Amino acid sequence: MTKSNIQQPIDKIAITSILSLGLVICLLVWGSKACEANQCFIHVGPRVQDFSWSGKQIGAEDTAFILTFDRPMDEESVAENLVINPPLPGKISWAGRRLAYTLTTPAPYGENYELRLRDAREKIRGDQDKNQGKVIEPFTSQFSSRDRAFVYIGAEGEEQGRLVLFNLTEQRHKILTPKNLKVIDFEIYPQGDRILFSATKPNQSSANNQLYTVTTGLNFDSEATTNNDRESVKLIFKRKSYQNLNFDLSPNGKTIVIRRANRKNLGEFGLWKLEENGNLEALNNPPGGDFLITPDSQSLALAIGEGIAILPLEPNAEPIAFLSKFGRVVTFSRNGYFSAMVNYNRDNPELAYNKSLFLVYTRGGEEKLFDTNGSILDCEFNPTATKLYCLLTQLIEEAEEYREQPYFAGIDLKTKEILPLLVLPEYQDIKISMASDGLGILFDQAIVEGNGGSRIWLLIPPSSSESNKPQLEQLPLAGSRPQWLP
Amino acid sequence: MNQLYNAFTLFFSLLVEAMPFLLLGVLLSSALLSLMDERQLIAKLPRNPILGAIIGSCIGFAFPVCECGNVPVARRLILQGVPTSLAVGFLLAAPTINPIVIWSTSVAFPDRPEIVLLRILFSLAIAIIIGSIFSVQKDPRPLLQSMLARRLNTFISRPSPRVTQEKGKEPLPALLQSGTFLLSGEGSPIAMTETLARTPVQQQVLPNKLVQFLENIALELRELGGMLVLGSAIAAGIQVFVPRELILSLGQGTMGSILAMMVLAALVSICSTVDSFFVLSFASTFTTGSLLAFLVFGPIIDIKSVGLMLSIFRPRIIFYFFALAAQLTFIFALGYSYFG
Repeated sequence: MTKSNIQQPIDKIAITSILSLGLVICLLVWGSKACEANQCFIHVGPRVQDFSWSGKQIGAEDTAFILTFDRPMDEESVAENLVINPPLPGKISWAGRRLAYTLTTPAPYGENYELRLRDAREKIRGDQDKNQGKVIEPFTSQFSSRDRAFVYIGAEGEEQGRLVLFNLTEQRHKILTPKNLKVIDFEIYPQGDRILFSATKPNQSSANNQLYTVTTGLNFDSEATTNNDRESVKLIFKRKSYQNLNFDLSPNGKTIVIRRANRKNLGEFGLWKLEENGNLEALNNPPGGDFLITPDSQSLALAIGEGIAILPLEPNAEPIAFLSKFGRVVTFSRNGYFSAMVNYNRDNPELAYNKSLFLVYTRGGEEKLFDTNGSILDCEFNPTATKLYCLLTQLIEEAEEYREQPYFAGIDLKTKEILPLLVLPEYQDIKISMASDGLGILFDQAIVEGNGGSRIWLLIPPSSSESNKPQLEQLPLAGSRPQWLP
Repeated sequence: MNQLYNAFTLFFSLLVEAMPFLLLGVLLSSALLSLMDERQLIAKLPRNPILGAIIGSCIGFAFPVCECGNVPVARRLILQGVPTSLAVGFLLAAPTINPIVIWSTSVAFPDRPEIVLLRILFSLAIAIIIGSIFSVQKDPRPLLQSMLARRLNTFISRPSPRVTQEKGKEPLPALLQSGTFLLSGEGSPIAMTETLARTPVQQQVLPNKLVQFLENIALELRELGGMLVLGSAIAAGIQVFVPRELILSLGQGTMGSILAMMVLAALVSICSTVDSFFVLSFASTFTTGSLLAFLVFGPIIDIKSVGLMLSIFRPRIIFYFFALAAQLTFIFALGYSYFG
């Protein structure tokens, strides 16, 4: 290299630039060393880059959160120092820089939670002392769970025959439907934003019911932008030539299956599918009895003859499966793994007039839970599908006549142990509703004495960790068919 | 023995990966030579050095070449008389700022758009800064290897007859000039200099253009292919004797991990079109800043491409590239880690 070569303009500016950039690097290195001991504008230690539940309102379907760090962390020190207040038990798993915390049970509703992490250290590769890793920048974040709330059909005063939303956390009522509609039955959409209900105009018979939706003013879908606080009722379709008998809303809220009968020819009845876009078509299934849409929202469990057919939600579909042993599907678990089905023992003379409740696995297989000579009125799985709560009856012989005594029972699905929870005074055909966060079961009881009416009750089953007794609470609400919001 | 096998595997994999891109670059460079009129090209390019660096950095969008394909194209641009800042901007940015690389990075990191965005921004910033620094050197000859400088010398010192004509002056009769001449059928002699290669396309007939195109492909493949083989052999050898694990274990803390990933990027010499998938395996254990350092620094400088760059630039110029790119990458990556 000759002298003249090095004295080119490029050499001068390149060397000057390299030296200046070197100075900037020295400043950055010095700054980071100086900031190591105390907090200052340069942050040297690890930090939480993202917390997936930060500021969010969570529900039962939110089972895990993810904490993303900016570098690999010492797993033990994070596990020791991660604090959620109030506590939410769960399991920690790692994938590189990401920590997943999976809740063992859904977060109890109506709470504000705080997540704190301090004193955790970064991971040091190799055999060096763990305590050499830099300490994390303290991290605090808040999230909350939804309010506990349910909907019921009011029974007194201005609430009579109308849908009422009751916020249990804030003890607030909100009437959703107008006075001129008498609600017969309803189902809540999965996002809690709308309710599908059947209702009639005053002075009309229930045979003239129509299907409507009403908005609740809530929306659990975090991506939805509109949160309209005003309730608006919408008639779903007008077909006067048919009568709606009963309906079921798919768990994803996209399909409604309605049993309809032709008003001119009541012998002509069958199931119809109503899609989100308003498209209504007859499924043309063989005539059947009770029906339920499966948790995957893709098929239908329909009682046909002496069995249960699982049919795709398509017109003229052939059954995917036929469970000849069972006569009725009582309920499905939310995760879709199990269902509870009743075997009427028609082919078993030894158990004639007895019913057997089975736990049926979606992927094949079944287990008998119990036999009863009474009735199986309704059952619901708890959110984690570890227990099944049922409203059953027991046949009691009293002075030459039989009486059915209803009672609640909790069945542990692992041990198959049945724990009677509560005896109810009178037989009533009631439906129960299990809270999404597993708090308790809502049900209604008609009052026989006095003015009659119906009251709403909350049964809180004993938690598995303690052997305390179930708690029963009569809520100060007159109404029927209570259903928890998701 | 095992190490030798490893070295051979690495060597061939680097070669197989880079050769198609080198070929693409050479094809593009030859096409530029044969099909484009450089005067028109240069007339359209900006004179402002910073603007030139920006335009050069963005040309990669039109020529999606890897860090092996950019060298022949950059070499051709310099030979055609394009401003240095523009050619340098192209050389440094084209491997990253092109649709294939942006797409492959976004496929590798679908849930981390910041990596894609910052890779583009940092690479662009580095190319523009270094391009602007190089713009102070108006005469590109001292930057270039002596052979290349001589080629450039020829056409800088001997303006083509057409240029003289355009200025409205009487052209010097060809026979009064010194040099070797070719007598064509029309009676006007053509000077046998590099100017021949730069004769406007319109004046050439198609078979001539084709011959020139093919000859240039052969020439550049011979020159650059040799350098690529040498570069790949050195890169493979270093990787065998300095295992990746050793480099990674040195990378503790914010700064250590950035440095480790930069050293790794230079050593593995992986092509920019696939490097985001390579670095994905470190995504769970390394900081985002250090991943960015890998993705930004790797395409600019790696051992394999240093070999190719030596075919254009003098060693000290490559040292400037290397030092400036490394310093800027380190500052950007550390800045992101501390303040991002």
